[in-house]
Amino acid sequence: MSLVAAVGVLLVTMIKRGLYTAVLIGVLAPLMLATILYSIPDATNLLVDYTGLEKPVLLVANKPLGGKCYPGNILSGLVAAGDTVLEARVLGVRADADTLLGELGLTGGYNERSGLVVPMDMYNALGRVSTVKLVLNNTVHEYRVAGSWRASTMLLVDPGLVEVGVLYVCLEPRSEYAAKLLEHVEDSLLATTGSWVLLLLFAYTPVVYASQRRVVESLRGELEALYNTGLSVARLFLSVYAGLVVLSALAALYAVSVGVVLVYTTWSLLGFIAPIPQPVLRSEISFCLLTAVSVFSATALLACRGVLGWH
Amino acid sequence: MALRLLGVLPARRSGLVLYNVVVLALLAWLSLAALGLAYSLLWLYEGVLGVGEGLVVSARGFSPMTALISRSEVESRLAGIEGLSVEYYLIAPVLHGDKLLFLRNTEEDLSGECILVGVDLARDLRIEPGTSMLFSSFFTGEVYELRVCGYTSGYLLVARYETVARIRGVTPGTYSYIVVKGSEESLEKALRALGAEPGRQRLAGFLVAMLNRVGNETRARVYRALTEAYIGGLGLQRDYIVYFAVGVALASVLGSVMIGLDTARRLSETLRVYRLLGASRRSLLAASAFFGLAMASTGFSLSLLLIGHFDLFRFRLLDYVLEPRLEAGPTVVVFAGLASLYTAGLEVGVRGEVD
Repeated sequence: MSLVAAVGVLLVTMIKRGLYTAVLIGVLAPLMLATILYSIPDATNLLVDYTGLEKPVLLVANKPLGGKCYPGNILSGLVAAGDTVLEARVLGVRADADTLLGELGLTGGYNERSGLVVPMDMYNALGRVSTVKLVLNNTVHEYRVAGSWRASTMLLVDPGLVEVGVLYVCLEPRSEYAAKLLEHVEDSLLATTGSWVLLLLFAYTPVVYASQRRVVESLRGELEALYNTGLSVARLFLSVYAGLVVLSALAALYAVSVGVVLVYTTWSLLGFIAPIPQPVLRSEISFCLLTAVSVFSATALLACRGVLGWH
Repeated sequence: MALRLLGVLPARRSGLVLYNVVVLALLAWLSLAALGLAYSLLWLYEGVLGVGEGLVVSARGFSPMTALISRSEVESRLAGIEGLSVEYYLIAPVLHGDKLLFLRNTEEDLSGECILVGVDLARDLRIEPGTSMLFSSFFTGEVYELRVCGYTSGYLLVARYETVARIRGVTPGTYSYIVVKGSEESLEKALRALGAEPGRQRLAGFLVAMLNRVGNETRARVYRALTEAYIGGLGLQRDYIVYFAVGVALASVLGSVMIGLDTARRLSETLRVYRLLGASRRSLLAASAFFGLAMASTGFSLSLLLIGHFDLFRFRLLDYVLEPRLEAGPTVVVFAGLASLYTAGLEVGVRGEVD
């Protein structure tokens, strides 16, 4: 009898005699849970209903972030209009004013290449003038006031600004930032889930080993019959091992399928009660399945050795 | 005879005993971690905002950081109710670099550009008093420079109300949530005034009243936690999460049945010897039940030590670290599940071997 035929005979016997139940019990819990946990809804779907997120936010950091970034700096200086002179903190950005301020939505139809956005209080104190003098590093510059804002820092946008290099000023749409945050939360959740699932898989190794051992022990009669047909002991060992690996892999696939069916059925049923975000099956589950099959193959080897000994 | 068997097992089969304890401890540890993390998630906002007790009044929204509520509306509804103390809080999400932080108002006397930084946050960012920090407002999109004037507790930033309102981009008198404290009787009156039925809710401790404007009428719904109130808005119910977590925990310890069955098989020789020596079937079953409970108890105790000493299962949520939070009820459920499943497996196995 060939090895393949022997494996086939043993597999059919395992299924006919319901020996797969023990293996199924062993693999069902960790793999079904892994499937459910890796099917959490895509967090970015939560943003769909929220409007007003398309506007950009001005981010300042010491490295370029997402979105469009420009070199900038925080500077101290004096601002003057008429007889009024005030101390000012200035966020300087080397960029085209019409582009940056337009994208930021701070000004409408400002066509100058450079300009200043002045804090509201300061704008009033300066007499709501259209042009101011700005003293930076003992150099006097004259800038047009492009608008005012609630912040306490002045925003200077000038493509010829030389006092830059420490900071980056970036424009990022709020939706992108919010999506990035939610993705970060999701990644953190999935990473924790991943380590939990992996540990559960290893914690279940003795359980799977015990169930595989029970299967091999139950096949003693069939193994004796196969031995009597002339199959060598080594081939017999190999055929039991191969049969057990195939059975465990099938059980693992079945557990994942049950998990998928369970998740989507629950989602559909709960959908009648409340709108619940759609589950998304992650690709990590295939890694989980591969790890499980590898671990179960190792325990199958130990189970065969435990019952039949090395041959 | 059965007692002698119980005495012999740890001495002669120490390997088997150790194997059982370790596997059961691992299964219980994973179950407790899953349940603990689910409970931590349910108390997320309370932890981030540092809200510990009282009746929290908030409004429908994505989160307490985005919802807004009018002070005058709550004041007018609570007017005339004696024995209440009311605290008003406004939260502004701000970006420092690419880090999302939360700025909250305080009653402390701070100057306009002053902020207090939470000690945990200050340690992470390596910030000392006197330094200036740049923040971008998530709502206005503008950049603000504030000076660190001192420390506060936790992972929050604290500034005076006017500064927070300016950065949040709201008109004065608008808040994120309001905390009402008082006697049980006063809180019951407050709940009715807000348009909610206290029902069977326990008023002492912590409750959330979520205000929802429908036309010209404001209705309030009562929840047991802030997170519950907001995830309810997303279509998820707290109970589903709790049931799911308990399901996960029980599924994790389900393998203990197989461990029990396997242990009985490994003890078959010992059981046969004792049977030949005259031990009754009943005494062997009683001994195995004691053995099962002892193994489950030891394994469970070890799992409690593991969860207390290894913070392997924790995740960062917006820089707030969530660690498994053990509650008495679920812990008992895990122990009961582990002990009963393992002992049942062992009993069935022993019964098979003895018969």
